[in-house]
Amino acid sequence: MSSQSIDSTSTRSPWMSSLLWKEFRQVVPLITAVLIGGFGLVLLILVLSAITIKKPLSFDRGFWFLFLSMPMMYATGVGALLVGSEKESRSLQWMRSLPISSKQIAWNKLVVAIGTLALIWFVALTAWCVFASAFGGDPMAIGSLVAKHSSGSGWLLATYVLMSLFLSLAGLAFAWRFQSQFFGLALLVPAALALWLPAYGLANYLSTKSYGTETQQFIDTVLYLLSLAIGCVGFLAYGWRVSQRELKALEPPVRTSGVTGLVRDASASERRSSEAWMLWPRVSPISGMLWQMVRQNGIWWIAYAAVGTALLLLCSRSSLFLRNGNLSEDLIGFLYIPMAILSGWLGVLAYHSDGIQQRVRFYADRGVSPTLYWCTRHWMPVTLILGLCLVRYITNFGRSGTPLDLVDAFGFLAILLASYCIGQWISQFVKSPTIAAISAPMALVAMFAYGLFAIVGMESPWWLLMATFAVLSISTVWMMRPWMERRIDWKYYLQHSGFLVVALTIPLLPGLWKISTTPGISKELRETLNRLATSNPLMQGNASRRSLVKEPESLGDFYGSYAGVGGTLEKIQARLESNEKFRARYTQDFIDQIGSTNFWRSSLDVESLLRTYIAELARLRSEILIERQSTSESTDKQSQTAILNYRKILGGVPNLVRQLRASHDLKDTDLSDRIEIIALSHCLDPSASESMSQAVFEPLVELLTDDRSRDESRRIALANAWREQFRGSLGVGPIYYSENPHQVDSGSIPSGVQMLYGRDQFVADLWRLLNVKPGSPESISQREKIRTKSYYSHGGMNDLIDGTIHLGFPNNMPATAWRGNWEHLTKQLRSEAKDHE
Amino acid sequence: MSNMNKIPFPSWLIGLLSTSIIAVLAVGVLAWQWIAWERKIAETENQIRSASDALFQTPAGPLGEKTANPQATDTALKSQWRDILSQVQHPYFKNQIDLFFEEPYFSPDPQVGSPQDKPRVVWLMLPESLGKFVLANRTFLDSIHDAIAKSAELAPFYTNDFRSFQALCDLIFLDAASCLDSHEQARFDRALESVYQTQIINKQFSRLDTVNSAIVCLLHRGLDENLISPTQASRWLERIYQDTKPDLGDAMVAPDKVSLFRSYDERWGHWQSLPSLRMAMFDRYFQETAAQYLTLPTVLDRIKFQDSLRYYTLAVRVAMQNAVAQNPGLSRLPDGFDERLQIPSDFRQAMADSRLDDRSVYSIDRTTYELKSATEGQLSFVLPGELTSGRHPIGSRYPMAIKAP
Repeated sequence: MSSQSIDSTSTRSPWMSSLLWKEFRQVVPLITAVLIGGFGLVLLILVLSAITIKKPLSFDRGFWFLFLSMPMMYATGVGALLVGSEKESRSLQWMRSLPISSKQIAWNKLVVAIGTLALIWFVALTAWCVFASAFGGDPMAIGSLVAKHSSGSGWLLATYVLMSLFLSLAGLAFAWRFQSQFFGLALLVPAALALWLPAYGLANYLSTKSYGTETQQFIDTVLYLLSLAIGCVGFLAYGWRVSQRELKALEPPVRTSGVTGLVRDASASERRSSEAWMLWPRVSPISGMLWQMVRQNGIWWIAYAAVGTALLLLCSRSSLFLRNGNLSEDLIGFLYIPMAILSGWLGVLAYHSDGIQQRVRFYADRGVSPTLYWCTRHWMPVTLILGLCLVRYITNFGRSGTPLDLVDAFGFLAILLASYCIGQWISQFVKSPTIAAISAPMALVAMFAYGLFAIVGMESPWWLLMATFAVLSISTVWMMRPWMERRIDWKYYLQHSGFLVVALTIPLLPGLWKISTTPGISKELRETLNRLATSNPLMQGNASRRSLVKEPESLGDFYGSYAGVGGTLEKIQARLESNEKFRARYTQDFIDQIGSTNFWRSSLDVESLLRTYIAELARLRSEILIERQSTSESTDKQSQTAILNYRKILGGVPNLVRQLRASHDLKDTDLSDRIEIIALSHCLDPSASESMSQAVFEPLVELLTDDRSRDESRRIALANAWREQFRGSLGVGPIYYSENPHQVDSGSIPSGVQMLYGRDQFVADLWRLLNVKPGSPESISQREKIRTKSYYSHGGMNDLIDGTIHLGFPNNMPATAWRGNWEHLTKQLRSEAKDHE
Repeated sequence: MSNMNKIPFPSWLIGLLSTSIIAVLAVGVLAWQWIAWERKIAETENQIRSASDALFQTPAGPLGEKTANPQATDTALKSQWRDILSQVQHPYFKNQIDLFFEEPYFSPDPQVGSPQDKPRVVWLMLPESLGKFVLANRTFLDSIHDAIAKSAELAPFYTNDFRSFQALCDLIFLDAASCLDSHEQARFDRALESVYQTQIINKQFSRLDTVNSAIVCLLHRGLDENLISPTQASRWLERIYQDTKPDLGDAMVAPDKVSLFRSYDERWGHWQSLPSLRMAMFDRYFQETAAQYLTLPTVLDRIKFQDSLRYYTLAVRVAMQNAVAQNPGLSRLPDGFDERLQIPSDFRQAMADSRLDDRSVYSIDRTTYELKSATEGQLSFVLPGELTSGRHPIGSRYPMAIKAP
């Protein structure tokens, strides 16, 4: 059937729709890759920001560029995919054999390219508007949707759209013109520069004319838009012309039937090639394979090495680590990021250069070892990377004069190798070279973000990331045979995905292990605590007892006497006098009320109340002692009052302590412990029983030596506090309690989990403390362990050491008096009481 | 098969292989060197960590255990001190002490005089209130003096509550200050001694504390009120110098790496990174922290300078009083007065070495003496505000009574 006899007019419609659908199907993988990559990056950055930045995420205009990358990436690759892949699979020849004119083929590709580009733009803009609104930002904040104040920023969107159109048209044109997809993609860069540089130069020249800021911005914008428009029209015309020329060249020959002619020509061509091949000198397989790689990729390797060397020379004597310890952002942006992307593309080239036109089947059909094939693909690229590492070290040697030069060089090597590993894995995973080339940078960003997450978020050791990239390399060795034989099916992708999952999981293992081994409380203890809390709930009214209960006037005046004096001499004098009066009047009130639990609970400053308690008891005791030593009769009345008050205060301690314990509240229990410590310090005084009288001393001894009741009340209070999540017991929210409490706010997930379990750990440790004997080495070590694991341990523990009451600084940690030295000292009271009996 | 053995090995492949091997070897050598460096740094890090752990595990001996003082085992004295330190915790004392050391708002009344002439601290300005306060707590204050007197050498203070101890020091200072108005000579002497003893102890808690400030203030006031004689003041000067001179030089030492490592390691030690990076981060942390101490010498320098200047003012005043007593007709500072002053070289050195820009303003050159009348002269100093104000202010002008021979 002759192509000239084909009348395509009558059959245009059904062909057209099918053809359009075919073209659309062809770009679906790219659309999918771009959208998944773009939205995936947004999600990744949101998740990483939420983990590493402790404050809520806020709107940032920078996110716009993530959404913008989607149409830009698509525009870059659509041309190569639509035309390049068809050239590679030789389906263009097949299409030319159909009754479809070259104009229709080219037109359909153009329509699909622009139409799908528009679709991607629509999706990206819609997603951006939704995203910006969700974060409370203004979608118009990019200044590109509305021309505001006649400034150039109002035309940014138009510039971006035109730029994407230019890239897609230029990509199509280069894909028609050149056989190699990579070359066509690479040419986009000089093409864009050729367009941008004149516009930039002209804008720069015109900026010297001092037209004013707004006018200048307008001129700049118009110049860029104009150059882009010219570029679009130019590449449209050029691409059309080239497409027609290429398609016409693919027309089947007229004189013979298309298929027979093709077969006959192919046979002749193959025969000539095989004859020529037989005349070539014999070479070893390895050298042949290497030679083939050199011939195929040599130009790319040279370009990579040249760009890398140039960048390294430009960045010579620039250390990655600045003097202030931060990383050099210039070096990262100018050297590390470009080299990482180039290394990723180098990896993509490793297999896709053979994937084009199924060249690898040549090796597969001849039984070449996959391992040998793998080694020969990576030999030169890895050597190049090693060479660049050496160049980095040499050009940077002695910059800091420390081993950090070596860290810099090997860090550079690691980034290049890691990027290469990712690129070569993508090369085998993604069938289309265009999609692989476009998705490689996105994959690099994703892997870098993942590495950061693994190290920061999951506390992974940095060296474990080497295993990730090693697994990606091993996976390509493992899957080399099916790849060579082109057995790319669902099983192939499943196996590769498995390797990827393993590679990504390895760095997470230490963090996951830490999470899984975070101690909590056992099931038995949980049940015991629940049972205790249920059967001994908090007493009614305790929850509000610390709220705005007005203190007695005298007490408030006492503590607040200095506050807000005003600073004039008269006011100070007045305050001095009123303090004296209050003290004289208040002291007896204090003594009369101190035995009441309401008095303690209504106080807003328990620490000051405790110190007053200690001071008054000490004063009374010293008065009693002075009276004993004095022979004067005039002090009789005073000393009698002192004795009475002393006994009154201490006599009220057993009742006070029991009432506080009866509330089942941990804060009250802790207060009762501190009161017991104070009472103990007085009971241990040699003349205690004489000063207090037996009527006061014996009940105190009974109270202080009753370890069982004390521990029982502690257990109940602890159970209630645990059930209430320590609300009311602690001033701050979570309990910072872990093996290393200083790390709990490091932002990592394992530390966060430890913090979440901190409450349970704390309770479990305290429970363990209560199960050991007071004064035993185990109790001392367990108490110290609890102290070190508490973030708030700087306040000190409550105890009685060498007769001195240690109240420590006020802090929010409960149970600081448990199993202190004072509990061991109560045994002395027991023996003294027995002696007394 | 035999043909396979004759397949030539291309020269370019040999070159490629050689290049690869050289690259691998070069990188291998660098890696080996790097690993060696990292191991060396890791060893250094471990050494610092061990030293730091040892430093923090060594229990600091409590004060008072420095000597085998038999008083340390005196239970009655211990009990007395416990009671004293317990009582001093009372919020009443804290409130009153804070009020007495307050510097009230000053209304610029020209009749009152310039701020520099009259130090403005409440305990000076309200002697009656001070007297009432001291009287109301006389028994307690007596017990404090008694305890201090019994604990003559390095009293074993069983407390970690420095606030209580500071309150104690302030209380006995106020007691001494109250004697200035009531002219109780014996009580003043006793209180002065107690103030001095507690200031010596206090200085062991905080080396930055200026021992001289309280004592020199009281001595100046004592001379003003004739509660002490110039001879007694000279003896006090000698005592002050003997007891404080070793501490002038080592008021504060910048921390070294060992002492700082623990706080750094607790915070960042869990990060899995290279030893070189960790040590680089630690070096940066150390430099930033130590830099704070580099700025502190300015503060330390000022404190040392002011301490010396306080001492100096007292020494000059005592010397001038003696000079005026010997030569009533003296109308200015005698020639060579500075050289003849009995000021220890340490204090002179501290004043001369000071890096303060304005130190010359306060030197002997700016100290003047002039005859106001036939019976009164006036010694004038140029003193910084930190000395003429605050909790223990000293004056800048001192009248000198001239007695006829």
